Amino acid sequence: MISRFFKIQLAILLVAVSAVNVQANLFIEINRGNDNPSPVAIVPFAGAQGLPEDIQAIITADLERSGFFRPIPKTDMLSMPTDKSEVVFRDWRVLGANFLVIGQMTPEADQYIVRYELYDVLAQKNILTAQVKGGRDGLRDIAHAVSDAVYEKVTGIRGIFSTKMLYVQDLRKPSAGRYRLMYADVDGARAQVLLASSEPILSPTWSADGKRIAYVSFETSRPAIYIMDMATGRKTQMTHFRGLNGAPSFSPDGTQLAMVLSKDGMPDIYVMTIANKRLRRITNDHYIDTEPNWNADGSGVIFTSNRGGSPQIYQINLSNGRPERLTFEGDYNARPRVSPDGKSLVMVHRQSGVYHIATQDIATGNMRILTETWLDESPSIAPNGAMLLYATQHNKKGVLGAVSMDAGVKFRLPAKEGDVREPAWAPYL
Amino acid sequence: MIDRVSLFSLPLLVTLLLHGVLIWAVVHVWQVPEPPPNFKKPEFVKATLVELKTKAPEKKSAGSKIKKIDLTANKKDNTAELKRRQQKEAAAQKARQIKAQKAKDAKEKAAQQKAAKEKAQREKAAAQKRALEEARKRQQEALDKALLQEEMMLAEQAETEVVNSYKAIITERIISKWSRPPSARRGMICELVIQLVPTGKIITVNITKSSGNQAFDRSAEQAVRAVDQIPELQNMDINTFERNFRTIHLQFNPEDRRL
Repeated sequence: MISRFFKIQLAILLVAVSAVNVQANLFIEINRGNDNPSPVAIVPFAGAQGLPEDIQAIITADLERSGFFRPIPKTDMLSMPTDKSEVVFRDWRVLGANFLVIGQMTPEADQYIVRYELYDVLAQKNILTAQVKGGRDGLRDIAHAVSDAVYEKVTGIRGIFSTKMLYVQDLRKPSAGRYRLMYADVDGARAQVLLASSEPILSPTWSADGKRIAYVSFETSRPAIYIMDMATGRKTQMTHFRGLNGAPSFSPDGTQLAMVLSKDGMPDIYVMTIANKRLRRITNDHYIDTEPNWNADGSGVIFTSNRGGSPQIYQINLSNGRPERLTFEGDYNARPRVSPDGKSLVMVHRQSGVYHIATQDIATGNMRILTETWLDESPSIAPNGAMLLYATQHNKKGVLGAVSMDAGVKFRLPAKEGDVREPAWAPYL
Repeated sequence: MIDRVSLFSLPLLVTLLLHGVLIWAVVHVWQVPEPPPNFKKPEFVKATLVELKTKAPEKKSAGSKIKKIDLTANKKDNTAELKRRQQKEAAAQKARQIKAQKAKDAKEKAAQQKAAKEKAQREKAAAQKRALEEARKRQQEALDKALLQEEMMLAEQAETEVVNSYKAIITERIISKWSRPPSARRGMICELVIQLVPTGKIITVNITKSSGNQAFDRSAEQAVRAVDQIPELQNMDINTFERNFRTIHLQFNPEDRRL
C-alpha cells in the first residue's frame, strides 16, 4: 500500500519533470505569411494647414502605392497627435494601425523644416526620428522624402517616391507639339515638357548617373539617336544612318551607347563609344536583333532576336561575342530590361495572344507573369528593384501602369491628355 | 502558600500517575515484535549440529584404540598365559563393546538422518512457498508498473493531441498577421520567444535570433503582437497550459517566398 503510494508520487514527479522539458521546447514554425498591407496612420503634420500641397495626402498616396502599406483614413483617427507627448498607443491599436507617422512643420526664412517620427504601434516604440528641409515650391519633395524614409525603415528597401521618370505623350492631333518627351515625378505629378515635336519621339532612356538621357527622334524626318544633358538641356545628335536608328541604351559606366542600326541590311546590335562616336558591330546575321540593354556589370548586352524562329531574349558576351539564349517559355519574349541587382529580367511575354509583363530569374530561368491587362509593353524597373512601370491600354487610351515585382500591387497613374507610353524610370540621383 | 501547593498537588499527582503508567507500559506492555527471520535461523543451526554428532563417535573409537595399545604394554611383565587370556577376554569384551556401540551409533544416526531429512523437506517446502510468493509479487509489481506506464502514455498522447490542435490555432493566427517586407527572402530566419498567460494573452515577445534584416525581424515581432491574444487557450486545462504554452519558441521562416 505504502510502496504503491510512493510509486504514484514517483510517476507524478516524472510527469512533472518531463513537462518541464516539454515546456522549454514547444516550438512553432511560421513558414507562410499573409502579406496583407501593413496598416499605417499618417497624421496631418502640425503647421501644414493652408499650404499649396497636402503633405499628409501625398505621403498617404505614396505609401499606399508601394503596396506594402494600407493607410488609415484621416476621418477614422481618434486623435491627431503632432508630438510624442500626445501619442496614445491604445487609440492606434484600436484602429488596427501597425505604424504611426506624426510630424511638425516649422517655417524658417523661405524654407520649411519638417521634423517627423515613425512609431511601431504594436511594440509601442519610436523607430525613426528625422528632419527634412525644403522650400515652398518643394513641398512635394518634402512629402516624398518622408515617404522614402518611412518605407525604407519598415521594408528594409530604399524608397523610390522621390525618383523621376520619362515618358512619351502623343496628343493624337497633328500639331507642332503633337509628340512630347515628358519628365515627371513617379507619381505623375509635376510633369514637364523636355521636348515637343510634330514627329514621333521614341525610346527615352537614362544614363546610370541620371545626368543624361538618350532618345530617338524623327524630327529630321529620319530616325536619329540624341543624347540630352539634363542640367543644361543641350541635345547632341549621335546617329544619322540610313534605315533604322533605334533603342539606345547607356552602358553602366556611361561611356558607351548600345543601339540598333540597319545600315548594313537587317537590324543589328552596335555599340558606340560616346566620346568619339566610334561604332562596333556586335551582331551580324540575317535575323532581326533589336532592343539592346546592358547587363549589370557591362560585360554583355541582352537583346531580342528572332534567330530561333520566334522573338526570344539572348545575351551576348562582349569580350568573346558568344550569344546565349535566356528565354524559352512561350513563343514571344521581347523588350528585356535587367533589374538593378542584375539577377532578373523583365520583358514583354505573350501568352494566348495577350501581351503581359513578365519577370524571369536569370540564374534559374523561372518566369512569372506580373500583369493581366491587354497590350502591356515597355517595362521599366524602379531603381530599388521593387516595382516597375509599364505602358498599357485603358479605355482605348495609352496609360502608364505600375506593379510591384511580387505582383502584389498594381495601379494606373492618372490619365493624361492623349496617349502615354514608353515610361523610363530614372535612377537614384 | 499552602493554598498554592494544594492547588498544584492534584495536577502533580495526575502527572506522576500518567508517567508511572507510561513507564509501566513501556517496560511490560511494549514489546518489539520479533522479526519473522528468527524462526528460520535455529533450523539452520540444528542442521549443522547433526553433522557434529556424526563426527563425534569416530573420535571416541579412535581414543579407545590408543588405550588398548597402552594396556598391552603394561602387562608384558606378567605371565604370557594370563596375558593371553586377559587379552582374549579384553578383546572379546572390546568387540562386544564396539558392537554395542556401533549398533547404538547406527540407531542414533538413522534417527538423526530421518529428522534431518524431514527438516530439509520442510525447509524445501517453505522455500518453494516463499519463491512462489516472491514470483507472484514480482509479477504484480510488473503489472502495476506496466499499467502505470500505459496510463502515463495515454495521458501524454491525449495531451499531445490537445497541444497540437492549439498549436495549429496559434500558427494560423500568426500567419494571418504576418506581412513580410519586400526585402524578405527565402532562407531568412528569425526566432522569437513569447510568453503567455492562461487568458491566452501574449505578455512578452523577445527576438532571440535575428535574421540580420531589421525590417524582417520587425515584421515577425509585429505579427505576434498583432495577434495579441489567443482566447481559445482559456478553454484549456490549466496544467496542460502550464506545461506547454507558458513559453513558446517561434521560428519565422518564409519558405513560401519566391525569392
